[in-house]
Amino acid sequence: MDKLDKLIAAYCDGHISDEDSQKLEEILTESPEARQKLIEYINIDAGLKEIADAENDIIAFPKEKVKKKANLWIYAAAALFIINLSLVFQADKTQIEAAKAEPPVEIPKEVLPDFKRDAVAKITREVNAVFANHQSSSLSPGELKLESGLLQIEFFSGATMVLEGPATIDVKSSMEVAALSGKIHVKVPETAQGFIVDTGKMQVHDLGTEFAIDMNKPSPEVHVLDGEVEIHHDKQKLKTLLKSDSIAWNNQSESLNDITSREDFISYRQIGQLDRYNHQNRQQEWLVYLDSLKERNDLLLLYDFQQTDDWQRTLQNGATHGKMEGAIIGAQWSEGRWRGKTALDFKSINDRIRLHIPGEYDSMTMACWVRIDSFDRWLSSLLLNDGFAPGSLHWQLSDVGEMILGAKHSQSTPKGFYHSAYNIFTPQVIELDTMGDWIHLAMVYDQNSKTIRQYLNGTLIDTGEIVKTQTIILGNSEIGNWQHHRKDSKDIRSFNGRMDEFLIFSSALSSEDIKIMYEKGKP
Amino acid sequence: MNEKDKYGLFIAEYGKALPALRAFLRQLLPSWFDVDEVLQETSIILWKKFDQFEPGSSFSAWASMVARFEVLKYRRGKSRDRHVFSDETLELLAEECLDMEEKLAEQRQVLKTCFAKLEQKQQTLLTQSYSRDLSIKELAENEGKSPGSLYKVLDRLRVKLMKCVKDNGALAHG
Repeated sequence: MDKLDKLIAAYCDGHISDEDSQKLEEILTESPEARQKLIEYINIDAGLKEIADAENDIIAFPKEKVKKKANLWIYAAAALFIINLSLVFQADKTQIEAAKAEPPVEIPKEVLPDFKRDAVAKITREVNAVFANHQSSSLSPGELKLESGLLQIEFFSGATMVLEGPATIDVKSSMEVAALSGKIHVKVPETAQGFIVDTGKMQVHDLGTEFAIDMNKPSPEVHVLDGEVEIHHDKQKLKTLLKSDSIAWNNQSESLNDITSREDFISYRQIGQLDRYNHQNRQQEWLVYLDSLKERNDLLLLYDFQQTDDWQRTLQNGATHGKMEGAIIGAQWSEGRWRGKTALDFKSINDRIRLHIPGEYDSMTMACWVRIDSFDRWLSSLLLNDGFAPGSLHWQLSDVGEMILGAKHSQSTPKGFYHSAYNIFTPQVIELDTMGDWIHLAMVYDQNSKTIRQYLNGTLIDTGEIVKTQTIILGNSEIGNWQHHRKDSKDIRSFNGRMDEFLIFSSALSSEDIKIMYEKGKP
Repeated sequence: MNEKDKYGLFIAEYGKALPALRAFLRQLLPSWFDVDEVLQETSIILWKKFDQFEPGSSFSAWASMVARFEVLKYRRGKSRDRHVFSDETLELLAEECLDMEEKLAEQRQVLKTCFAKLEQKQQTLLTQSYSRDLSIKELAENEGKSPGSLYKVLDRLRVKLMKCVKDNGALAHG
């Protein structure tokens, strides 16, 4: 390699010295050949990255897909440019405003729901857990602050950790955690041998075992409950501990002391029992709450998806209001979100619940508990009435994890879809990480405030405007599928997953109501 | 092309390239915050040089090259008081990437053949070092080498590939 090659290589690997970086820039400024060489080198670098990603099956370049809809991020991109342009040129504002007002109609977008590429662990049990900030069930490297309650974390290496709050840990990888405070119990199977818990002064290296750490004491303690661990300090092995050995780190003498062993740590066995007990309590609370809902006279429909006999192929409306019996087509009974409670599993493209929703309404609320297994096609139905006549509401999910409410306010015109109807899209909120988890979805069509609100797990995620008010008329409808009126259509909108509760109200519930519904119904 | 048309076309092209660009940058940078920072810088250069962009050529390939230079600059800039390339230099490079795009695309194609010709061990080493699963430091440990010597090995492999790409590219052109 000649001198220039070396400079280029060092630059690309990011370890070039300041002096060399300056030298390289001087050469580049003067020599077109040198620039060409750098570009070609970077291009090889880019090509190798592509090859590596293909080998690793990483989806770095999602397929593009064109959908006709106005999407938020294009405005975000436009906004970004306005910021940039004002930085660069002090550009003519009116021009840019004009351009922003006419965004291109056809907008490509990412075809995959989002997910945490760097997740290393998953929260698998919570008992009355309160977090310092919002916490998703997938854990990426970083700090986790548990204010109170209990938490079970399963690392992708196989190690299982139980935290007793208040506790703070810093997740380094699927094999390493720094313990900052709290009580911790760790169970490490063979596959995760070598798992490290770092207490700051001590690095506890696991050799296939069960151990506990108490960071609440002034002298952090390590208790080996089974198997064998090694205590390291300053990259040196200090001691090997066996079953029933306990030690504490003395901060004054900077050394280890033997201490009496303790067993008052909550393990994965106890958290399992506590979780079961807690689960039963919550299930009771939920039943009481459901009974209170049944007394509301704005409750139109309540399917609780509880199977009462072996051959049951209909759903009875639990609301005092009316009949609205649902016919189960295809969908099979399976386990719901509560232990011992049933749900319906929608799998085939023909699976659905058919029902008739009589009446005309100004406002409406729909809510359901679902476990999404996959997005099979561009749209998955939650509840759609047949066809799309004036008065219709279509509540569905897109394959990138958006919730969508379509509303049809007028007769179709030759001018196009948006003259008689509109769709309210939420951002991409349903992530791949949450597939297989029970989630609560809700939609409120609020005539009074002229808004359409959508909620995920009790949290308002999007408020859209009612473009033109309509009297809601649903009539024949389907949950989990769609009966369209076009003979030649290949439009399939079957839902893939389980459903364990479906409610419809003839009024607009408040955000507080939805939050309570989620809290009470959360398994 | 007037400014408004240019802006509209740019937004459309940038919009199309953005998801892939974001995903691509996420592979190279530690967080979404860093991704947004780099995107901001990248988009300024893309916009400044957009006059030279010819409709029909690959915007996203060009954008990812520009982004790659920005990543290198960003990483260096993270450690304070370090020398980074000036905007002029980066813009010059961005411009020349555009001129060379056809050639670069061809080279990436030939690269696949050249890569396949490497020994299995070398292929694995490259794939591992370009995926985010292991850091260079961890990889070096696995290989029983120092990070410095691993960088040298990787550099040699890249130079070897570059030579192979050039030789075969020349063949393709007779």
